[in-house]
Amino acid sequence: MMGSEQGFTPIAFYEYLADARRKLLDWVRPLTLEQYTKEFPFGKKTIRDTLVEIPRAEWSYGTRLIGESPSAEHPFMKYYKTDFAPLEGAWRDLADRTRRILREERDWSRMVEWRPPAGVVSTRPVIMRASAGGIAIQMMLHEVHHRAQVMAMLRQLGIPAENLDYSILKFERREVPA
Amino acid sequence: MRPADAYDYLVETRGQLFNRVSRLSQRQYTREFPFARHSIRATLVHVLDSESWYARGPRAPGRS
Repeated sequence: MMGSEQGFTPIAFYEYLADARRKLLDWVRPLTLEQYTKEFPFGKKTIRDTLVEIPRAEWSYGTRLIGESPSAEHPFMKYYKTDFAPLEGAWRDLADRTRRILREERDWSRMVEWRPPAGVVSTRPVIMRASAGGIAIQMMLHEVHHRAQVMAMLRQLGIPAENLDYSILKFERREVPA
Repeated sequence: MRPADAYDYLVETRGQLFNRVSRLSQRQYTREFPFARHSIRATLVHVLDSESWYARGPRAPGRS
């Protein structure tokens, strides 16, 4: 990584998420459809629904960052009804879009306002307001939150899904003489 | 986007989390689950322990 891609920057954080996501999806890929859709009493109830929630929100927050409104025809809704393979390909394309959006942002303190569709945030009409940086923080912590739920589900299926820590994936380590 | 802003958000949400945890019985607080650190207590202590280590452990040049 170079320059702005190091340290505490949105793109640096996103690259870590993308690395961790590759490992997460490696654990999900071999699941049967039955395991992928098995019900658990937490998260979004199934690995599929909890996983789809992540790119669904990523697409929406990215759309807000470029000043557009998410359309009613959300491109990720269909993956609530498919097996895993098509989701993985679509998510890879989304990651390229998100990287581009994060790299092109010039002012993380600029404020963004939007009016969510009725019923999404509140039963009454509301205007939402956040900084561009705040939207990026929400997008990324949202993935960490739901990723942890997927990992807990995988563990209950007997898959040792663990160690996606930033320190494990991104800290440098070098051997020293004993 | 500053690390302190992200941390302030974590502290706020931690307050909400603690409100819920404080209502648990000791038995619930230490109940075993088949994931994470196996109990709410052990998982929370892990968060505290890690934060404490990172806050005092790594030392950047010029930082005492």
